[in-house]
Amino acid sequence: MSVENNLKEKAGEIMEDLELLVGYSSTNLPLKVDPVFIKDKGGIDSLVFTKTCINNLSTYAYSLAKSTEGKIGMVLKPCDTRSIIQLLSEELFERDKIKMIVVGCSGIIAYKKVQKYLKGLRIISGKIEGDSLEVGTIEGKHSLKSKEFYADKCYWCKIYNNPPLFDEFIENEKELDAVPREKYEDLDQFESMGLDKIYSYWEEQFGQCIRCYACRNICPLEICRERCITHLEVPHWQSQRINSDEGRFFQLIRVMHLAGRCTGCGECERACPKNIPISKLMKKSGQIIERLFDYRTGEDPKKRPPLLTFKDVEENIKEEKIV
Amino acid sequence: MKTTGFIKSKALIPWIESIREKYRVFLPVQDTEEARIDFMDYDDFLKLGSKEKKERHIINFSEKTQLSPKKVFLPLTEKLFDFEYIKDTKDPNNVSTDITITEPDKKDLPILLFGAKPCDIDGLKCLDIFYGEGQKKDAYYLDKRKTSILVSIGCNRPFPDCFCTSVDGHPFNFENADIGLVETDEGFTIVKIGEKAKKVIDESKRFISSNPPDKDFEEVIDSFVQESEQKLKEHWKGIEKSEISKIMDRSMDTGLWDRITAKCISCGACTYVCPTCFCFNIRDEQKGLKGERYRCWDYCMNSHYTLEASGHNPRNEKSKRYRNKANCKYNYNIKRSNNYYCVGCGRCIEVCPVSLDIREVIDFIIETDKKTPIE
Repeated sequence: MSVENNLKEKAGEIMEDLELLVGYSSTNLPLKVDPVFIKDKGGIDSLVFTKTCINNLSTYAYSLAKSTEGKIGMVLKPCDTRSIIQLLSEELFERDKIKMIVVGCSGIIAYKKVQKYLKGLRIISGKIEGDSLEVGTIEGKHSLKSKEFYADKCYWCKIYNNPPLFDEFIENEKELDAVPREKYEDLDQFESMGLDKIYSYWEEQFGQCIRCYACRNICPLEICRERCITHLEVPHWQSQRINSDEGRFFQLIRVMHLAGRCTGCGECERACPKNIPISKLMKKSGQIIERLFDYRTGEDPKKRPPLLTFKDVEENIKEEKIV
Repeated sequence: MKTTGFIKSKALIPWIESIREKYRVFLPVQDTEEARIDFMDYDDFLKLGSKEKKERHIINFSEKTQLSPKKVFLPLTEKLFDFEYIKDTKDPNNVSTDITITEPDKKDLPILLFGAKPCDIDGLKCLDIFYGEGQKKDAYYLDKRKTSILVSIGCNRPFPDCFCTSVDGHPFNFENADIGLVETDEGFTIVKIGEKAKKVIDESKRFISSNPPDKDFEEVIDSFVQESEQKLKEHWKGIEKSEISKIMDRSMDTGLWDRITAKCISCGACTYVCPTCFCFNIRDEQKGLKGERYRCWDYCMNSHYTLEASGHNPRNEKSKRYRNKANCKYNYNIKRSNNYYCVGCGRCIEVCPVSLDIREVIDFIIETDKKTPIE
């Protein structure tokens, strides 16, 4: 039996206890899936689980936990559970509010990565068969290897069939076939180009930001959303002007607000309509937090995030060495 | 389709170079490294700087740009004027102040928008109605629009999320364009020259050959038109304007919209990429005695859009906000000006991080309406 069938079966078994089940369903758009909200058993048939299920459905966890009386079932990939764990560690809702139906993962194809390979041309068709990925643009078809286009987080993933927290677990019969990489390998490479180049790189990127706030609103941990400093009138921190200065201010504030909270799911980058590589910034903040506080996000719901608490003496912080 | 001239592919850039002195030319430019395609000022394109940066940017007419060309006429941020309060320095006790206002110089050249798709041009028509018709006219927008020339290239190869033919558009509709072109392997065939564009065409005679390279050319173009039209019709069946307006009026039930927008994250991506979304905000920002009044894009999916000074918010839930957005496109503006305020470009479908598809929304409303008994 396939993972998808097992998922449907499991969902059918527990649906009675749930007020709502959030999962993936298919769409006509190539290489995309559609988040679906199921209220009764009849809807379960529309559930899918494929290599394109990139959305992190825990985006809906906080708002649903606050607005729903009963329990909410949520189809999650093992990496998505990190977001729930992080939310729990901040005591934002009760553990039993969300029923985590975790499905083992064999690597997820990142739409944006494919589009980047195609130099920005639109994907008009997409087919995954075995480990081959066939995509079409209006210029022609490309035969690609799936495992080269997985989301960045897949390449250092160790929990794809071993989720840290779950209520129901559906094992994936396929193994993750990505060639493993070091987590911060790409950052080291990026930083080797020197400060001047890094600065001009980001200036160009921030100049692209149109401040649609898709990155903020899709983030499972940015529960502030409409209460964001960007909308504050007094004090008026952020101008509504749309330019690179304001883009930089907004994006860097985002990074600061998510330092020690971001679990690296990459949804912000995926949601960006202007293809700004936001997760590079998030990853850097994660690296710094890891070094300073010896803390990795989304691992233990009982561990306090470092910026929500303080110690008299921080072992790893030696002021003169912070760069 | 009748052809009236031909621009060879090779002659295009020299032609644009020749009119650069008289027009600000905007073209769709693709950044091949960052996977971005957007309209760019040709002058900025030439000033891109380093060699690597120049090489990774190319002009591309066949793709759809990420943002629609509305940003050319309605900049993301536009300075309206500077102001300064003047205090009586001799008498600090005199609290009454004077204000001086300085408007920016309007020495800008007329805009020539080259390579917009017919749907983009239809989007500008929607903006023209909003900013240019009615009692109050918007001088900032109209100043740019009045002198501008819109050069549209027909859409040979529509994308899966395109559905212009379902909302009164057509991949080769040049009604609202000043110059209409059809792209083929050899170059661009001119199929329309509007009144406004006669001057620029007269000035460019040496770049335009009178005969297309092939004598059966008009037939070739007609086959393009048919093929493209056929494809688009499969993308969405759509619905009559007058009918959808009535159905939308009957479908105001909040529960229905709650279901539709359950997955919506209430970001502004769909409105910012939309060619017809016209909402803006005007703000004053001041430091000391000096300040600036500017206008910038705003979006109705933001809860602060309708937040009133009292603290009351008539559209506090995302379902109400999305309902307003859908009605703006498929109801209110149909009543106001008999136009869909959706041109079927499909950008909102493409950028939506949660795949909320306006076609599915409208279909769902129609289906629900059919099932609901009329009282």
